[in-house]
This record gives sequence, C-alpha cells and structure tokens, in this order.
Amino acid sequence: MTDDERAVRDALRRLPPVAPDPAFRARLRRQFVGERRAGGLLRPYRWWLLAAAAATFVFSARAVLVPTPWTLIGTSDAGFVEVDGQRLPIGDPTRLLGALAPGARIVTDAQAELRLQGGDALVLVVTPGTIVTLPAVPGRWLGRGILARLEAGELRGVTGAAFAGAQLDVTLALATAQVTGTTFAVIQNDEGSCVCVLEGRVGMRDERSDAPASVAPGHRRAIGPGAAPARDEALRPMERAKLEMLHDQVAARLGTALR
Amino acid sequence: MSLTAVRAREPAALALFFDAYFDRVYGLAYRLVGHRALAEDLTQDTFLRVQRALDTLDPTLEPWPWIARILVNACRDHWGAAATRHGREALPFDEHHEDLELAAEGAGPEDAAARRQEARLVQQAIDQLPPPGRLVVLLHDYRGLSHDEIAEVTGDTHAAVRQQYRRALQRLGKLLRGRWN
Repeated sequence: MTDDERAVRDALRRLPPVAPDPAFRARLRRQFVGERRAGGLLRPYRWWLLAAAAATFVFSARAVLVPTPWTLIGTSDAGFVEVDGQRLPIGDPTRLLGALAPGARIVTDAQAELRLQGGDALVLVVTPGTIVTLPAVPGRWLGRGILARLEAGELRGVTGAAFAGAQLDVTLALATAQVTGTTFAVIQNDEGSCVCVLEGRVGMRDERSDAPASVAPGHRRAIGPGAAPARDEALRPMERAKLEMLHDQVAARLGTALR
Repeated sequence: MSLTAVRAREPAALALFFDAYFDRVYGLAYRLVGHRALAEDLTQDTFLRVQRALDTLDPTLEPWPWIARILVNACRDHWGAAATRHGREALPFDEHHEDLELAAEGAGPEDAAARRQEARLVQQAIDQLPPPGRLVVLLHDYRGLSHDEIAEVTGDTHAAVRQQYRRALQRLGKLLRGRWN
C-alpha cells in the first residue's frame, strides 16, 4: 500500500457520522415499528376514528340514496391542507373531515399527507405537494362511476372487494386513468402524466391521440409533453416499495378479497 | 435486544432494532450516494425491505451484514435506474456537500474544521468512484466489514472484493493527492 493509499484508508476510517434529519428519522421509526392499526405516516390510532369508520359500515336503507362519506383514517404529523380555498391545519381532523366532500379541490403542502377511506371500496392517499379533486365514494348500487382530477403530485389508491363493478376515472393533464380494481398510483409533474400499477390492470387513455392502453401489474406508463410516444417500463423500486407498503397496510381495512 | 422478538415483529424489539441500526444504514447510504434526499430514500427503502424480510432474519447471527446486503441491493437498484434514465448520478468533484458531519467529540474548533474539510474532500472523491468500488471501500474502511463479509454482502468473490478495494484505494489516492492541504 502506498503512502497515498494509506492516507486515504485512514481518512475513510476517520469519516464522522452523518446527521440525519430528526423528523425523517422519527417518521421512519414509526413506520418501521409498524403501528399496525395506524400504519406508516399515520397518527396513533384514536377510538373516535374507529367510531367514525365503523359508522360507515352500518347497513341502512338510507345508504342507497345517501352517498357514503369519506373517512379520514390517517394524516401526516405536520402540514396544511387547502380544501376549496380554505386553509386547514393537518392537526384539526374535525374541520378536515367536514370539508372533505366529493368534488372538493384538495391542495396538500410539502409536509401534509391524507389517507382517506370510502367504505369497503377504496382507500386513497393524497401525498404531499398534490392538487386533486376528490371523487365520490362509489355507491353500493348507484353512482358506481366516479371521477377525480389530478392537477399535480401523486395520488395512490387501493380498491377493495366492494369496488367490484365500479370505475374510478382520474383525469391527468395528458391522460385519463381508468381504475377498475387494483393498487395503483397516478402522478402528474413536469415529466408528464404517469400511471403506476402494482396489481390488477389500469386503463390509460392518451388524451393527445385518444388511444387506449392498458398498464399491466408491476408496470408504469408515462406520457410526456410533446409528441414523444408513451413509455412503458417496469415500476421503479421506490414506487413499488411505496405501493407494496400501502397495499399491506390497508389489506385488513378493505377485507381479504383485495382486487 | 432479542432477534427472535424482532422476527416476531414485537414493537418494542423493532424499536430497539431500528435504534441500533438506523445510524449505520443512513450514514452508509449517504456516503454511497452523497446526497441527503437520496440517502433518505435509500434508507427508507432499506427499512421497508427489512420489515418485509424479517422472516428470513437469522436470530443466531449478527444482523448487520444482512441489513447491509439489503441496503446494497437497494443502492444497486437505484444506480441501475439512474443509469437508464440519466447516466451516472454523481456530484461534480468541486460540489460542496452540506455540512452534515457531526463534530468529533472533544475536538476543538480548529480540529473540527479540519476534520470537516477532510471529510468533505474524501466524500467528493468517493462520489467519483464507480459504484462497485465505492461500495467495497466504504463497507471495508467506513463500516469495518472484512473482505469475506463484503463478499457475502455483495455476492462477489473474495478475490474480486480485494481487487475492487485495491483499485478504489488507488483511485482515491490519485484524486486526493495534493488536495489534503
């Protein structure tokens, strides 16, 4: 070993520890320790959330005519959410719940994340930095076609057994994603419009040409600005990991018969 | 800490496990990619994979090589995806890293500043190594794994690891010659 190499080796051994962001460490610790009831970025489980969630499952004749409301099943620890222009702190779930009606335009800041459940049918995750119009929860017999609009950011979702026969259309800048039963993410950013599928299949209509396509499980399809053709690729590792985690966390909530 | 309890996913054991290995994983991830946001992504990816693979954790063995193998695979996936999309992702040699280093305990201000400067130069040089060499030299000298353990982590032969290590040290020596002062 030369003197230079020895000096480098010694310098490598002297490299000091690297300070992580404490918020990131704390968040990942909670995620890893696996608060199974609340999961990942979710707050600690609270009984009133259980009561609210349980109420949505009560069968009633009114359920035919009265749409199922969204239930807020989790949030990040910090951040603000703008709902139809009204700025709400993430730490005020009562006001958030009151504002989150179908058709509401939701804007999450860089820290805020919302996790919403629609009956047995669907869980949606509105990630930080997202602008999305909230769809209705698909009805049991009526209103099985629902519509969302993603203007920016990323929306992830998992469908449950009660979603069978329903369809969620998510309009993006360059495409429309047609979800009929799957674990998926739709992304809208400077690179274009993208649909990621972990399981099941998602239809994707290219708005430039009106050409339909199908995104297979384990794949992503991205449409960029301009005339370049759409790109079909395997899911990126981070995308796969996040969708797998979401799938695992909500399996119990939506029942064993996940689509 | 009972690794059997970790395998059983008992929350208290998982918490101890996380506290025992987070700094090692994050520190190595940062040294490998030289970028805070990427290091966070890789660290998160690693712990997600660890969580999913806990059933394969051998409670009779020290877990660090197993965890390091998971981190290495996550890094390789990242480098592979980055090469496909954008080519090698490396900071320019003269790019200054964020001052993330923790000062050595007991070091005076001048010593601490010198250590930070040395660490910055070394990290910039590490960023110039190809991924295999970067992996080996950091696992060996930064994380203290033997060549045999590195071979187990990376899936390479002992001879290949030794050769990669030697070449990486030679290259780092050339990159840093004359820059120490």
